[in-house]
Amino acid sequence: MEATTIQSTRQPEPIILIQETTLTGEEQAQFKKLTLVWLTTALALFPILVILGLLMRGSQAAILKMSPELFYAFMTLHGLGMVGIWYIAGMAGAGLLLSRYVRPSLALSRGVFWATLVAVVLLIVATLIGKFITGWYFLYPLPLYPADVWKPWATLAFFAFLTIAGVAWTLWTVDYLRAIASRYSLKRALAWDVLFKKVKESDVPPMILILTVSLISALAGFLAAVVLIALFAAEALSSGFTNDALLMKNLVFYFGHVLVNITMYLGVAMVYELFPAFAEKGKLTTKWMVAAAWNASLLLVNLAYFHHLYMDFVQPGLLQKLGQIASYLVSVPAGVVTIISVLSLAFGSRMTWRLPSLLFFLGVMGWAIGGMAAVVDSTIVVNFRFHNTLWVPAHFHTYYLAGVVFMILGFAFQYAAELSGKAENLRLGRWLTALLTVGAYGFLSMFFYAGAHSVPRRYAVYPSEVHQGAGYAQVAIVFILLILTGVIIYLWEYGRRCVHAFSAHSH
Amino acid sequence: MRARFFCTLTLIGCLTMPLAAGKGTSAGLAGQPLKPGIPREDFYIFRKIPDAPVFTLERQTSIYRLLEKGPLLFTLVYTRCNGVCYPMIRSLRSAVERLGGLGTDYRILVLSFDPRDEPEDMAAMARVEGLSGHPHWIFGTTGPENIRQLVASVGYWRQPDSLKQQVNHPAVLIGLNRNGQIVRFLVGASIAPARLAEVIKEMRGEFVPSYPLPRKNVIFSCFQYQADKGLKLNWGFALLLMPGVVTLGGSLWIFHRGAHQRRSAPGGF
Ligand code: HEM
Ligand SMILES: [Cu+2]
Repeated sequence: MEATTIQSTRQPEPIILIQETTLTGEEQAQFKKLTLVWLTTALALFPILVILGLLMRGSQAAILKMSPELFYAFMTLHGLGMVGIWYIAGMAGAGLLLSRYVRPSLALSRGVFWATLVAVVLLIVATLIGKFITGWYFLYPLPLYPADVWKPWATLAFFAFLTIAGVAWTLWTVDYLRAIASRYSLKRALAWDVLFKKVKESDVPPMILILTVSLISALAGFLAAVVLIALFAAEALSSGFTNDALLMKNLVFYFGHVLVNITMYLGVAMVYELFPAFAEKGKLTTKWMVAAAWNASLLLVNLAYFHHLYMDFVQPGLLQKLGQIASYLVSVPAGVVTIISVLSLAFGSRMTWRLPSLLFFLGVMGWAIGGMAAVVDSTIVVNFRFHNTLWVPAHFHTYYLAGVVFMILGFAFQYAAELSGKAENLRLGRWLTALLTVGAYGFLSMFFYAGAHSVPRRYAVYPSEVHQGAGYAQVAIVFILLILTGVIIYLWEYGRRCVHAFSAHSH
Repeated sequence: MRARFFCTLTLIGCLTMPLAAGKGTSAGLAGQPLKPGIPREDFYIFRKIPDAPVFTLERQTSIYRLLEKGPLLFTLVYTRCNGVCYPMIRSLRSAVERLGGLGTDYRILVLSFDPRDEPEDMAAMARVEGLSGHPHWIFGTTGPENIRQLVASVGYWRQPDSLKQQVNHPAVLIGLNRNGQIVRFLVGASIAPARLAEVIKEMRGEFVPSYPLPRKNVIFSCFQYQADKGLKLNWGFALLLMPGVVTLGGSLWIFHRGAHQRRSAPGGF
């Protein structure tokens, strides 16, 4: 801490771009550039999606007037867009770190990038122009009954978006797994030597373990989406074939739950790989606790999604109980182990807190807080009260916005700083962190309060029974403006570094 | 419950009819793309029906002009029907009389879907039903092209039966709100006042919750419930397990393939 009084700026140390790599010089240059393109794309879309959130809250606060169709168009685009951009940013960052040990395909990542751009355009067209406004989860049978709110082409555009993004991201996932498999056996990648043999710690980095767990789970989630899309198509195209609503709901939450969790795990994997370097502690090794926690997650993340169906009385009770047990088990070990690891690194060192390390640290804490709120809601008796209240967006915005988004913002900043070699203004970094943190938690607490006071989610305008919702929304707007200011300052700083990195290259 | 009605009702197998009169039947009603079946309210809900002229004995008006005065209960019939049409109107009439509100909350439009029907035929039908000259029951005809459009807009079907010289068709009562949007289908020849009351409420813009019953043709459901056997697994459950199983197999395959590379690569593990 004393360091700041002596020095107010800091040259970026090489944390991401270290010597260790499997790539040749030229490949590495290309890979670095592509990673920057991925990150910049996600970051450029971020403020737009935040503004959609601001507008939604404005409508709920009874300050802005908009048609319900517009509100739900914003909501659908915001939800899918946000999950999408942080998934791609997480995958891109993880890919760069992965190239330290194994060789992900550059060509494939490029192809996926173009496919993703096409998908993004389709999503924007389907929601904003076509008014396909079912919410992110396009719950069966809603997409098949547009009731003249949207035209058939919008349904088509939406499913084209899902299919293109789904196929592209599945290939990307498979490619990372292939890369890992070309160096590690499955047993080693999953650290089974530590888990089942008397080996004390594995030299397989925790990041490889977490990524293997995440990528395998992501694959299952994407396959659930494949089945879902096929069943939708079968009903739309055939005459007479009808789907089972319970099966469709199970499939959509299998897919959605897994995708959201995996996005977080991608951020956590980065933290495991990089945080020790910030704390000047070298690298983490994979110990038994870490191996056990993440292996458990591999199984449990596939079962926890049942907690989305508690209110579906036709779902057998056994699956409901399984949902609660799996939800507890999936969050506690991975969360607790990660938090203990990060806390012990942070407090056992005399590290200088800079923007990236602060955001990493706060991101892990946000993940934990959001995770706890999720565990509360995944308790069946509590869910009777909290189901579909604003508590739900409250918890997932916590581990997203104050969790994985913080982690990825930290990563991207550090990356741009290293590429440009530009010094960091430590005071600005702290102010920026404070702005983002206060903004995020202020905004989130309004979701939490509202949820605890029975304000339902997904209302464009609150009816008189829950008029208190508007008050919370008004307060939230102030905090959203803080976040937006923070994001703009961040992007300015990030952008300056990107520009500097490129002009430095071209001379 | 609705589903059960249909089954009995789709059969609207109208009985035989004098041979002479039926000559043009199949020609006049040919070219129906819609397949016989239960009219699916969920496909058509909130769609707006197209405007069409309405010719009655007394006047000429149009559906949209009628809607200006308020919601309409709308149904399609043909006067040569030996089957469901007449009993349905009778049943509707007695339900309406029990409920009240006709003329203040809504009016009833009975249109012929048979191009051979003239306003006189429809007036005769009204007379048979004891509704002759009733101010809020409108019995009318419309143009052949308008019939085609209307039928398509509500998913109605007509199937000529040349043997019986009749036209099979469903009996559907359609609630239209004042914007001309479809808010409810009521299917069946006998109209329960309680059901009709819901349709009328919905036409006035009040929300009446309803949900579709599980349909036939569901191949993949997770479970089946039978009162005597309890819960049984069904094929859909396999689809739910599929992602996990394929992922497991796929991952093993990816890592198995990787084994070759690991062995051949220098510095491999
Ligand atoms: C400052 C940033 C953000 C603001 C102001 C914001 C605002 C909102 C609002 C007002 C809603 C609708 C809540 C309701 O009434 O149901 C919403 C929904 C949602 N948001 Fe955000 N949000 C932000 C960041 C994020 C982030 C970072 C993510 C994920 C990565 C995200 C993902 C979602 C999702 C998935 C939904 C649910 C959509 C649906 O129900 O279909 N949001 N957000
Ligand atoms: Cu008939």
